[in-house]
Amino acid sequence: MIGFFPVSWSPFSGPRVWAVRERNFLLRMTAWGLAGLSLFYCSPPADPLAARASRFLDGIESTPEISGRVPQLSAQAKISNSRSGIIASCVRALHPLEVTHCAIRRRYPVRISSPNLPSTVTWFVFSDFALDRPGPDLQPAQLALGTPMLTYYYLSAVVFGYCAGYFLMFGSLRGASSKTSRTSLAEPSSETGTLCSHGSRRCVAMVCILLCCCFGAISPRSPKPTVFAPTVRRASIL
Amino acid sequence: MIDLLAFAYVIRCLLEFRLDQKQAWLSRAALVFGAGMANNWR
Repeated sequence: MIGFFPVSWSPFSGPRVWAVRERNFLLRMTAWGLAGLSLFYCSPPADPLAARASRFLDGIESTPEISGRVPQLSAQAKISNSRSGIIASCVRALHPLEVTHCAIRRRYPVRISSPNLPSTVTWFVFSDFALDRPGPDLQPAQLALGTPMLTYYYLSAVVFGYCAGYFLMFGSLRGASSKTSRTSLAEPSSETGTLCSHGSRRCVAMVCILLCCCFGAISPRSPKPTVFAPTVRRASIL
Repeated sequence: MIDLLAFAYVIRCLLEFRLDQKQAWLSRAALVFGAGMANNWR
């Protein structure tokens, strides 16, 4: 859930924010997310390794992510595992996005006479996203693919935000239309149709941009010169 | 399991917000998301 920071998914509720015209929505969500994230500073006193630290800041710096002491893989393990594992993880992360987009785009522009369908599809994707995650041993971070996987989690966060935006947008439109009149369910008004089309275009554009950024960040970079410790040790002995 | 519980509560907050349109549900979702991130940091 590291990459699932509300900042990353709340922009995809943009159609709803734009409809309600709440300017402080993102700011408020960010503040609440940071408040929850501040519980991280409660972990060093509970950690026995960090409890040995004399100061509070030393305990925080003892975490591997902050201190940079992340275990490294050998070059052979990186070559054999990195590409296929990263591609499989990304395809798996993009699966809910594909299902949601294809199902709703095929159905919604035709008629809105069955507004339960998009919500049902989106809820199905939510369930798939929440329950069909790999187990703790198959998490990308545990597979040690040799690349930082925070970008992968961010990719999952993009997909989650995309589904959340669809879910809230269709739910809001359905609730608003049911309050006004029952006939508006059968025929979409021009305002709601324009809202959905603009919102969907913005969502698609933002997701495309962020996906390109994620793939650019995950793609293998130029190899750095590696120094093998046994060779150096043998040379020093000779 | 705590991560899954936090994720389920976030989904529940989204569902409740979808029903009554109260902003407090989204705020709760953001707070629990942040707490889940802090728990899943390592």
